[in-house]
Amino acid sequence: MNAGTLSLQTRAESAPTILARRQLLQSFRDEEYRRLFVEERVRASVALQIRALRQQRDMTQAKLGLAIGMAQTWVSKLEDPEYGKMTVATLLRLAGAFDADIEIKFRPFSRTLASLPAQGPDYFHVPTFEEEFGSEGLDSETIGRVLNIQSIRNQVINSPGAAASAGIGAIVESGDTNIAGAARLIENHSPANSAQQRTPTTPKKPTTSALDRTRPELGREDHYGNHQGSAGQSGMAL
Amino acid sequence: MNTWTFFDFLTERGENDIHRWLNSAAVTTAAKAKINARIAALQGFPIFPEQYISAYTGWPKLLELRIVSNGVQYRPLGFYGPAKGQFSLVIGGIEKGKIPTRLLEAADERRNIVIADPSRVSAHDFS
Repeated sequence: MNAGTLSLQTRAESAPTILARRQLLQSFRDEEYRRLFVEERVRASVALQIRALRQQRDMTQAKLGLAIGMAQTWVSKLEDPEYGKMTVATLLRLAGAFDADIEIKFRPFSRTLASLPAQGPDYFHVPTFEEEFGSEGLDSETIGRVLNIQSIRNQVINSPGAAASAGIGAIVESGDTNIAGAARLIENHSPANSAQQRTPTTPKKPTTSALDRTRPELGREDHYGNHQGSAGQSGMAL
Repeated sequence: MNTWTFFDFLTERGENDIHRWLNSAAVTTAAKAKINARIAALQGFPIFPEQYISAYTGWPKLLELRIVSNGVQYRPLGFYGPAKGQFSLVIGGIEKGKIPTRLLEAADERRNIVIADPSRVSAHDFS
């Protein structure tokens, strides 16, 4: 696949998003620019994630500081995008305090371009282990299917061309980070369900999981006090 | 899908004034990369944290993206709007110390222009 015409448009995508990606690609042709962009993006994203995860867990900076053995003033620095001097050891302590995994991985710029416009609220929402696999738990078969899909998601992300495979693109692009969300997507994209969509039958009663409460898009309000629904349709095209 | 979409102010002639500023000699490549990366990161965040923005007494609608590059403070000014989920950058400056009133006045004037005529902004240009 030609990187300049990378296309992964399994769902509708807005023109501004496509345009923004093209503009960024144009800027990335300047080596200094792309190096500095990555530097700032990582700093800002990590700082924003620390703040977001702390707030999702109803922790003050002081409380998080206690959990990772640092003063509140240091936590404030960790949330400052201008700081950017945190170590892997500190990030691991934060992961422990947040009860979340952490991924530190080098990647090609095509992935940067593909993911930036999709860096929505889900990007900043990371459930704890308990929230994902809590006692109310899903049956082992569903969990097994979800974990398998997560594995496919990783493979597809590393090889975008394969995402054209029916059904997979939507799951990959959904950014769903919890089992319940992924399980819903699997259900929606299962062959049986697809057949149902082609042949209208009595609509299935929607099912909800206790884990739905971990999904940030449900019941969120913006600065204007307006309710925002699900993350909606998004795709990737360049 | 992003929570926020950033927009740039357009002059009467339809020129993107933020893009012009970012690509002017006044803004280094490092600063431009930093500003664009910051915008990209903020697009998905529900509420901009205080470390990332500055508000000004007497100018309740205006916000500055706090960006320092190589010791220089870059001051892109904007506001939430014109529609929900949008943040419009209306003017950029590089001023040391206290932000000049004239810059805030110009920003507020442009904010009023955009509120009255939303076609005076276009999606942020990352190039």
